Amino acid sequence: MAKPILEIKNLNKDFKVKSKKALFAKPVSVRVLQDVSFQLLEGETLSIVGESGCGKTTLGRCIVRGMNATSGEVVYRTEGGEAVDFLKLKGAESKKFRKDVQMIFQDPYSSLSPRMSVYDIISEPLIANFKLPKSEVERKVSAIAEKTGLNVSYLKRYPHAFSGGQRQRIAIARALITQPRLIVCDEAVSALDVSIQAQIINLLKDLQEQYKITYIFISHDLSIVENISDRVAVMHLGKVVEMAGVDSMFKQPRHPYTEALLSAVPQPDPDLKKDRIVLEGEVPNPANPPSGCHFHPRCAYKTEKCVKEIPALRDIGDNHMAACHYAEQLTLRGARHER
Amino acid sequence: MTAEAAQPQMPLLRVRDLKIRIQMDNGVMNAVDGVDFEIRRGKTLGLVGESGCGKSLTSRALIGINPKECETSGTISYRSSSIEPEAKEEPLDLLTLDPNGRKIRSIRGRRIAMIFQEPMTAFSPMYTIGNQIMEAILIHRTKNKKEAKKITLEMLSKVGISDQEKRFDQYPHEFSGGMRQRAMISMALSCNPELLIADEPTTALDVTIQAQVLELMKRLQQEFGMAILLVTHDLGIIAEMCDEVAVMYLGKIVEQAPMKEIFRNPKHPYTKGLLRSMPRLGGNKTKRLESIEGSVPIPINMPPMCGFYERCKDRIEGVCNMRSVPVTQISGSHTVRCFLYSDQQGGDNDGEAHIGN
Repeated sequence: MAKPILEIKNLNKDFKVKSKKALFAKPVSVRVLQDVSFQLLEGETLSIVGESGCGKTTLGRCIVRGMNATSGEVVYRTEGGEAVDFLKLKGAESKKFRKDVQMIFQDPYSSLSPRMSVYDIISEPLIANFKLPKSEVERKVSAIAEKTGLNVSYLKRYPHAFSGGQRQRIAIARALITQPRLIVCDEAVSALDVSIQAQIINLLKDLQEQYKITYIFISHDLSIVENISDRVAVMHLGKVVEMAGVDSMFKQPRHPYTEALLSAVPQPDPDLKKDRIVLEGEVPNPANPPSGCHFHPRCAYKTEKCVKEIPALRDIGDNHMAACHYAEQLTLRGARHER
Repeated sequence: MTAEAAQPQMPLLRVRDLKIRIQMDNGVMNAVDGVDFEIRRGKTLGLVGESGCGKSLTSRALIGINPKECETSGTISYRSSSIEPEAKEEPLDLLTLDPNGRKIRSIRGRRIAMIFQEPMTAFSPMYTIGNQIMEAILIHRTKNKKEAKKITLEMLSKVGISDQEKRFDQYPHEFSGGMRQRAMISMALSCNPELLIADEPTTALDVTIQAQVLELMKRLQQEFGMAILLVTHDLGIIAEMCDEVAVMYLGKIVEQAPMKEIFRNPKHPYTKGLLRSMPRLGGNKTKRLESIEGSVPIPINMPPMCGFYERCKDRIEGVCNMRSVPVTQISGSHTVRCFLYSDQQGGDNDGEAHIGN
């Protein structure tokens, strides 16, 4: 049984937004993460999916402390088994754990500084976190470059000389160089072409096998999520609405939102029968969320109860969590395997 | 020409040997290099390919909105139907028209309309949505503002935007992404075009909203009977929307066939690779994705050879990298640009073709 590496408890995040009522009115706060809790096991890949604006990127950033959560706990377990709450760390203390948790961003065109050579980009986290002699840094950089499929003789070049796929490899090399235990991949392959996407996914998988890295894979592409993850969390309007092992969720989703997401994916197979569920309307505004279940305005199965009562995220067997009043009763369609 | 015109199945648009060259600092880039295709009335042609393969340039060339730096040659013969009697006769070569002239402007937006990938940048932030949709109607359909507004409101309701009166006076930033894309579709369809060019119409949208927009496009195509040229990189969308598919790679169409044929019986190594490298729902999870190694070369000063040569698993040394590849007909409507299927592969340089890995 794998040990937990990260435990998130009741994480909340508020953003202050300008009030629309008056020009100088006090800003109002909008809750973009609401009571998010989950456990992450060592060596697994947890995917976080949802529409834009559901808070998946915010969650990722709160974990790497790119931003500070408003309340809650992000408990990280070190290799020695010591538990540390990231949110309580101050200054130099937090720096100790930076090397353990790294992030890969979506857009390799804006996440790499155009004024640093690739060598500098990759070695920067190493220099910031460890005191190493120059020769050792050099050795490590070329080793990691080789691992990630970068040509070592190109390291003196600048990012503009590289294609999108190559740049994402640079970003991966940079994340890997400190030998992190956890990497948050925020839409790491979304900006890439299909043929390159497959290369990067395979690379991420190989590296995981080799170094036992844990991934949090934030994505909106469910076909990739199915391919890469062990467990999946579906987010809707700042809340986790369903969480389960990937096979269980894709075969038999328990939340109508997951069902709709799965059925909306266009399949590259002309023989597949298509009767997709098209969600009417738009994602509700988090500043003014609907009453009861936040999904009810778009849900095909809603009842009066859904309008009034907020469903809690609960275990409905086999570690399959869902936040729907009717999770047990509904028979929802998963990703169809049959033709 | 007269014999052709007699055929009932004359394509709406026929593109022959379209070439777009761009002068760069370090040579000439052959961004689009001899593209041929046809679009039939009321049908959907999908143009797939990776970024930089020239699919957007091709689609934009049809209505002459590429930047001046693009040197375009070839023919784009467009045969408009009915409405104007003169159009019945000779097809019109859109490329010979002055890109700023009266003739192309009477076609652009009226007969051939376009929806763009990024609805935020395609709309001007300075004018209301209603104003921008109405502009096209006032130019092409009526001079009466009241009537134009009526048509606009009708179009907005057709694309599923509720509360049209209020929406009419709102600015693009007040619309969500999906809503903006709907507004753009309503603008494109407001003059009842014969051909709709959709350049990655749903790439910037969420899957749920993408599903809405695709359903909408299908419904409107049935209602208006227009042809669609759908430019996309997503094979899932192709499977859902298209009648025919053209796969582009490095400025050339490497394979062209009816949609089902492409998925069931792909021939070109690139098409096969694309299909295999796509993860699909319900697919075999434990299997590694098959990827196409390497990346797309930059088509500057390329010698005559197959552009896919460097990445191809089935390449034939001494053949594929020596000559430009002819188009081979596999069956009636299935063509492929690959030496593997060509009887010219022996050529005159060497008899023993070596199949590398």
